[in-house]
Amino acid sequence: MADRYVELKSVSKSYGGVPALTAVDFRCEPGRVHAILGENGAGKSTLMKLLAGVIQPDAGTISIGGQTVRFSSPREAAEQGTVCMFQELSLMPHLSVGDNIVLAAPRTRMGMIERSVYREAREALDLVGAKSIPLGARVSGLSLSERQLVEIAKAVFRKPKLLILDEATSALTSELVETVFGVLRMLKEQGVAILFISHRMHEVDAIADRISVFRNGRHIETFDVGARTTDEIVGLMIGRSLEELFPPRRAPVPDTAPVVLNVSNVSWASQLVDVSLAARAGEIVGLGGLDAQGQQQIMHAVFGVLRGVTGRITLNGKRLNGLKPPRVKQSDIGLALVPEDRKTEGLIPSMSVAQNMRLAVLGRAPFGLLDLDGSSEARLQELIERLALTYGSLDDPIATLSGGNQQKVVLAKWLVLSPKCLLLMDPTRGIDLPTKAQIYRLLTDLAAEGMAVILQSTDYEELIHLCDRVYVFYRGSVAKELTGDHLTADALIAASMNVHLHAGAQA
Amino acid sequence: MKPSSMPMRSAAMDFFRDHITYVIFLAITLYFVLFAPHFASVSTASAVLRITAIVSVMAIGMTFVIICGEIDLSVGSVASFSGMIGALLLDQSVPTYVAALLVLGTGAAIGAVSGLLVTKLRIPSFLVTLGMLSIFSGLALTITGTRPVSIVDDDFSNLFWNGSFLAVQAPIWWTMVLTAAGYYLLHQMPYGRRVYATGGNAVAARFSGVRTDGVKIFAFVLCGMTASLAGLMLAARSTAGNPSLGAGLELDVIAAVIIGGTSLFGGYGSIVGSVVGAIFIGILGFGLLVLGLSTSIQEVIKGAIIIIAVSLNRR
Repeated sequence: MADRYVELKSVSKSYGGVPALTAVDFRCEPGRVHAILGENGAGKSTLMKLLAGVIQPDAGTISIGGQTVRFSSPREAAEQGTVCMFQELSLMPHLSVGDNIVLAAPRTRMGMIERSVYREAREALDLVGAKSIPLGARVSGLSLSERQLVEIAKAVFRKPKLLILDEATSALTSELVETVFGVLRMLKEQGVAILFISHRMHEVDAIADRISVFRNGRHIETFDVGARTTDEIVGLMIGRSLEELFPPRRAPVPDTAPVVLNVSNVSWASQLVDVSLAARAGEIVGLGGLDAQGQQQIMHAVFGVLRGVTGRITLNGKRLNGLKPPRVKQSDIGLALVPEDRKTEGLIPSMSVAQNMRLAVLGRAPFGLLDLDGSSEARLQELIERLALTYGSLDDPIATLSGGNQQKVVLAKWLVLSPKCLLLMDPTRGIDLPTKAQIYRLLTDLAAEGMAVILQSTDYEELIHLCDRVYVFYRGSVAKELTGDHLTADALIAASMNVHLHAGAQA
Repeated sequence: MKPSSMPMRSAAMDFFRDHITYVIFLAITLYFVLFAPHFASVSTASAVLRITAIVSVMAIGMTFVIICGEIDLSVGSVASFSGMIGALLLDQSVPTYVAALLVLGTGAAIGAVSGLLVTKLRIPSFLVTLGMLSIFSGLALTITGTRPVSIVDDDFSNLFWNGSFLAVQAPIWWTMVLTAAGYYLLHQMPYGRRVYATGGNAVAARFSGVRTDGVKIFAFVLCGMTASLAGLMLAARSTAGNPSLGAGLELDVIAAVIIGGTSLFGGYGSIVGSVVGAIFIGILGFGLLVLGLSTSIQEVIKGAIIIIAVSLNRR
C-alpha cells in the first residue's frame, strides 16, 4: 500500500489575484527523499505551506495516505504526522532547548508536563548529532548552527510521517550537513516521506531520490536523481538557457581604471569584521555568500545607514564615514542604494508611481517648490523608456505595477540622480525572467558607461554570469575573492560555507 | 498586469472613497438647512466658521503629525498654556506683536521637545504627548495659581479674534491663511512629499535619503505652533488667559483630521480635508444646538456620527 503518501491534484492558490501555484499535480512517496527545486517565487514555499496547513488551497485536493484532507491549521496537519521546518528558525529564544523541543507535543499527566518527554527530547538531540547541547541551555545562547540542530531534533521528536525541510541546512557547516543527512537517511529507512527544499545542487544530489522542478507556480517536471545534468536542471528552473538571460560577457576592466569605491578595514558591531573591498569604474562587483553573513550590512555601512562603523570608506577619494543617505546621494558624492526588499525598504505604498520615482531627487528642486516639470522630468521620461517601464498612468498607486516594474521604479528613482556608484541588494529577487534579463542588460550598460556597480545577490548564476569579481562573505568578513576562471558555482558554494569542496560535489 | 481595467476601477473607487465623508457632510448640512430654524443664512455660516476656526487651525498642524504616522495629544493643553503666557506677557506690557511671536516660539519649542523625544529616544508619540498634555495643563494652572489673567490690549483682541478685514472676521482670516500656508507646504513643497514618504514607509524614505527624524520633528514644531496660535485666538476671544481654555480640544482636532480623510496610520491625508472635517464638526454642533438638543445629547450624537464617518472613510 501507500505508494503515494501525499498527493496533490490540480491544486491552485493565489494571493490577492496573483497566482502562486497553478493547477499543480504532485505526489511523494514514503521512504523517499523528494527534492523540490525552483527559483525564488517558483511556488516552493506556497507548496510547503499548503502541506503544513498554514494556508488552504483555492482549488484542487490534497490527500494523505489516500484520504482527502483539508487542514485548517498547522496543528491539524501536525496531528496527521506532517512536520515542517521552515526557513526562519522558529525557536523561542528565551526558553531552554528541552522546552523548545517538547513544546510541540507536551504530553501531560494531571495537567503537568510529563518528565519522561525530556528523556525523549534528549534522545532526539543525540540522534541528530547534538550530544554536546545540554537540554537546559537557553536557545538564545546557542550558535546559528546549534539552533538549526535543535530545530531538526524538534522535528524528529515529533515522529513525523511527512517531514518537510525548507532550506533547513542553510546555516550548517558541511560536517553537520552530513550528520543531518544521516538522520534523514535513517528516517527514510523508517518509511518517512521527506520533502527537501534547497537551492544547493550538491546537497540535492547527495540526499534526494527524486527531483521536482517548479517554475512560476507550476510543476514543470519530476525525475529521478541522475536522470538529468545540472545544466539541464538549471535550464528547467529558469525556463530558458543562461545565454538568453545574461548579456554576453564583457572584456575585463583594466587595472588602470580608477577605483571608485574603496572600503578598508571596516567593522561594525559583531556583524562586520575587518572588511576590505574595492570597485573600479566600469566594474560590476558581486557580494555573495550564505544569507546574512555581512554582505547586507556592508552595503548599509557604505550608504551611511549604520552607526558606529569603524574603518575607512571612500568614494572617488571622498571619505564617507559618518555621512548619511541625504548627504551621500548628492551629486558630488553620487552614491545610490537599491535596497533588499522593495516593498518594505524601496517603495512608499501610499504614493503614486511618479511620486515614488521623484522621491530621491526631491531635495534638488529650486526655490523650495516641488520641481514637477523641470529638468528631472525629461530625465525621468528618458529613464522610463530606457527601463521599458510598463504602467497604466504615472499617477496610479505603485501597487498597480508588477513586481518587476516596481523594482524598475526603485532603479529609476536613483538613476535620475546619475550616481557614480550604484549599490544593489538582491535586485532581481522574485522578478519575472524578461524583467530580470532587462535589468541585467541595464547593469551591464551602466557599467560600460563608467559606473561602479556593486551587486549583492543570493543568486549564484547572477554572480557568476554578471560580475567581474565576487567577494564571498562568511561570518562578517570576506572569506574569498573570486575572479575570472575561478568564479565558478563550485568555488562560490565552497567559499560561502568557508570549507573546501565536498567530496562528490558537482554543480 | 493589465494596465487598462485596474486603474480605471481603482480611480473610481478612490473617488468614492475620498468623497464619502463629503457626501455625509452635505447630507447633514442639508438636513439642518431644511429642519433647523434660520440655519441657512450668512450669519450662521460666519458663526460656524468662527466657532470652528480654532479647531481648524490646530487641525492643520495636526495633519502634518498624523500623516507622519505620529499623534500629538498635547495640543489642547499647549493652547491653554500659550493663552496664559500670552496674557501674562501682555500684562507685563510687552508689545502685542512681540508677545504673539514669543508665544508662537514657545509653541514651536514645545513641539520640538516632543519631536526630539519621539525620534531620538524612540518613545511612542502617544506616550510622549500624553505626558506633555499633563505637563502643560498643569503648568497653565500653576503659573497663576489657577487664576485667569484678563487681557486689556485691544490690538491683541482685534488681531486674533474681534477684528475684521475686508468684512471678513479675524478668525476666518486666520483659518484661510493657515489653510493656504498648510496647503502650500504639504502639497506644493518637497517637505510635504517627505512627510507623506515618512508616514507611508519610513524605512524606504530613509533609504531614499529622507531625514525622517527631521521631518517628524518639524511636523511636531508645526503642530505646536498652530496649537499656540489657537491658544492666542482663544485668549483673544475671551479677552483673558484662562488655564482651562483649551482643555479637551485635542479630541475635536484629531477627529477633524481623521474625518478629513487622513489616515491615522500615516501616509495619506490632506490639509483641505482636515479643515472640512473641522467645519463638519462645527456644523454638527451648531445645528444640534439650533435644533434645541442639550449639550450632553449633542456629544453623544457627535461621537456616533464621527465614528460612522470615519468607518466609511477607511483606507
